[in-house]
Amino acid sequence: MSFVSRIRAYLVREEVASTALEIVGSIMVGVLAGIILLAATGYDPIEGIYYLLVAPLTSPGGISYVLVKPIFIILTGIAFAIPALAGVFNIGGEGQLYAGAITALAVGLATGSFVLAFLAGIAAGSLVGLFIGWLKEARGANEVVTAIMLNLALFNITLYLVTNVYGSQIYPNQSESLPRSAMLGYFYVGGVKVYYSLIFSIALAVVAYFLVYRTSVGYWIRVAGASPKTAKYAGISPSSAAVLSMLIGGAFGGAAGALAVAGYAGYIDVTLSSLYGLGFAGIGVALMGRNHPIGIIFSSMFFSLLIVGGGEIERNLYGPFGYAPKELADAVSGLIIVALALPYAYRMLIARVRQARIAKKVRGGKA
Amino acid sequence: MAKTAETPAIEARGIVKVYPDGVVALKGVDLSIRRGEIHALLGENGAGKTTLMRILYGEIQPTRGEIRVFGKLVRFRGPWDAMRAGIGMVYQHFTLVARFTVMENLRLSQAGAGLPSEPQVLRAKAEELMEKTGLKVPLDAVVEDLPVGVQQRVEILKALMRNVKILILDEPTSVLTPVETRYLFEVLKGLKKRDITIIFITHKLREVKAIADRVTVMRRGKVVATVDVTSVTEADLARMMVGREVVLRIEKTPARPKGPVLIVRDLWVKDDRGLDAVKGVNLEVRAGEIVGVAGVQGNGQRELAEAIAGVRKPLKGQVILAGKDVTGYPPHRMYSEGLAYIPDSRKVGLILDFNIVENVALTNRHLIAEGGIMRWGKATKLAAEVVKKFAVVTESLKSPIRYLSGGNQQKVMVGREVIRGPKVIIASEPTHGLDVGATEYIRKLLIQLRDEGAAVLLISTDLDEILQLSDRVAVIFDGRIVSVKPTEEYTIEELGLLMGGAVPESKESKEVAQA
Repeated sequence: MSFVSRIRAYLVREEVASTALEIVGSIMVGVLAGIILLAATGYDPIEGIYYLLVAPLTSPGGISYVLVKPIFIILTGIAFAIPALAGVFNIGGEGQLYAGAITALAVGLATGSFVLAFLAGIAAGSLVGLFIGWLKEARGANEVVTAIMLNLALFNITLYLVTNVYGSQIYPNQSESLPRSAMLGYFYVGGVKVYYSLIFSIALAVVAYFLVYRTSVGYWIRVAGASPKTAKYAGISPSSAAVLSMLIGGAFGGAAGALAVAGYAGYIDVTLSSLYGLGFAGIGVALMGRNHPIGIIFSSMFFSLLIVGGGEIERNLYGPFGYAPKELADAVSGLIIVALALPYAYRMLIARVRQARIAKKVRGGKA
Repeated sequence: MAKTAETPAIEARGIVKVYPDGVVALKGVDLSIRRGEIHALLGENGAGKTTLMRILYGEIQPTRGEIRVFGKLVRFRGPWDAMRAGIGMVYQHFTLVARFTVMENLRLSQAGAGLPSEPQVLRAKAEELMEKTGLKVPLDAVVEDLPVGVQQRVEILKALMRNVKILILDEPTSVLTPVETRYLFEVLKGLKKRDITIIFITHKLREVKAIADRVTVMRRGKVVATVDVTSVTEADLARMMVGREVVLRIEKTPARPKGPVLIVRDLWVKDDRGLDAVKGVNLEVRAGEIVGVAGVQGNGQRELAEAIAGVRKPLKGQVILAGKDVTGYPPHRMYSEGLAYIPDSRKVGLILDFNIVENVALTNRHLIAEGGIMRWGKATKLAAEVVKKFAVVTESLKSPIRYLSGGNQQKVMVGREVIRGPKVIIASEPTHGLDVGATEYIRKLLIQLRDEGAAVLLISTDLDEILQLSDRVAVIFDGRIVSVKPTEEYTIEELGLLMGGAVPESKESKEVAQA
């Protein structure tokens, strides 16, 4: 077989071509919707799309900026994706992120060690995930409800700790800062500032890929998520797999929080604005990346580009009513994200509904 | 019998039903139900009983044919039309809201039918009906707290409250204890006196004799005959139900069995609803023989197979595999101990979105995983072997198994079990839904495996398959093995009787079962 035909066979087999087509198509549909929205509101649509998708990449500063957010959302994306593969809807990435962040801060301040701070953050996140998973499987509590409640509880616990326990003596609006020994630094490539934690985060995504597709645990998770009945037949407990997936997902959520503190900012601000929303962004990123760890690396980069590009629109796009408002920029990026996530989210929801129906039949019969 | 001159309650003519997937379920059925009789509908699985009843209840539309209810031509668009025409249905799986009280359920049903549903009126009517029919039900109890037998009474009461003239019961005794069954029969006889026509679907011969006035026997989508129950014996009914011509011939030499490798002792297993499904089964399969388990669907076959394979925890009893007590082992350990289990549905045995390699890995993890790492190279090799040895037609090992034909999917499912050289093979409905070619292939394969020294337990509701392949046949009825002996010692009539539960549970039959 020639090299070209071998590549072609690979593309067909792994459905790479159809997936790529779906993604490119989705982006085009999203961009088109954005163009219509811009034109309808009186702005130059081509200029708008330029600011959104191209302008951020024209300067080293812009690129540096684009490369920050992926550090966290790659990991919160995986925190959603791995449970999703097991059929669990982990909306608790946000809470796992807070737990990881505050624990990493506490341990980093106490020990001055990045490694310990990072590991403690992972442990905290995975405990939160485990708790949600355990409530679901052992107590029958819906994971979405418990996760939302835990998100809120953990937000406020973190807030309390940041303001009352770890509050900075010097700056009133943030926690104490980690010593340099507890932090990962950054380096420059041709004027572009790259945090070491981005490399770390991408490496963790590769680890996640390996875990999901190369290990027994990953196989259990995928089998249990694809068909609980088949899992039982093969000797895999669907509920153990679900709990395990939440443990692993939580670990990634915790890692995101730990890196947000020990790999980037060094402190947590008292409104938690630097953390808030990173967990939820992970859901969108995971859906855009088809719950595939490697896909999530790319979708995170793209998502970050849209956020930075949105800023460019606000600053530069001038129309009949002055500069474009933030809401318009968000709406345009939102359209593109929705278009990207929609086909996959739809398939996932259908699968979930089907499973719930089967589960209900089994449980209903028992009563 | 004075009412025979009247118009029949239901008259169906030339009913044909072709399902969208091309399956012909009914091939021109005529059915006439007299007013005020109890009419049994008897047949094996796939005979078309349920399809016919679903048509009478308006759930599905016939492809051809016409139905008259009390002489009036009807065309039901849905069950609501059937209800309006005075037809009620009691399903095997009840349609009650489990968290509601009985009264609330009655109210829901009444309101749904547009009938008066004021609590006082309803209660008075329910109490009056209970008084007249003997259907005693605690009106204020929550449904899920009631025993299954009482829930069924609620279903019947619900139908009666809607003033039904014709009541269809789908295998009503399958969920009942013997005492509850007797009670139900009393109630049904009472309803008959009140001029309610009853259609009773069953596969149990004894019940036909016990309760019905007339019986219609169905086989493979056709009506064999409609007869007065008093004019036939259980043996006649059995013959009508199973009488057949063999479709496929398969050459087979006599078995040369060796020592037993699968021994099942006094196995008790519950089903998903928590009812006893397997009730003290004893069974032995020797190396080099095929033991067929014959029976009508839902008599505990699936639970038996799952319990042996470890998928379902047995309540008590023992499973001994090649001299080792493996009771309570999880499935993957069973598989590594030399057991193979081919489940009755490809939806259970395969993950359609996974590729062939990933599906082959499912039950062969002990050969593929090392230290928690999946060795996909090994899995690919194994899958390639399966594909080659069993002539699976596929473009690539990496294409999702969904894109394979049913026959090829089945070959993968069977092949991945056989490839590891198991000592014991449990094959549940191994040719279900396959075309003739694939069926023949799988059946020949099972015989070949037997000749190579495997012990095969074949569980099938297809009597042809059982008769063709088995060296010995065990008949399962109501969770018990009611007979075991060499295939040639059965007559077809005897098998029909046993499958219909017609042989009373006597000392002799118990001894036979243990032999």
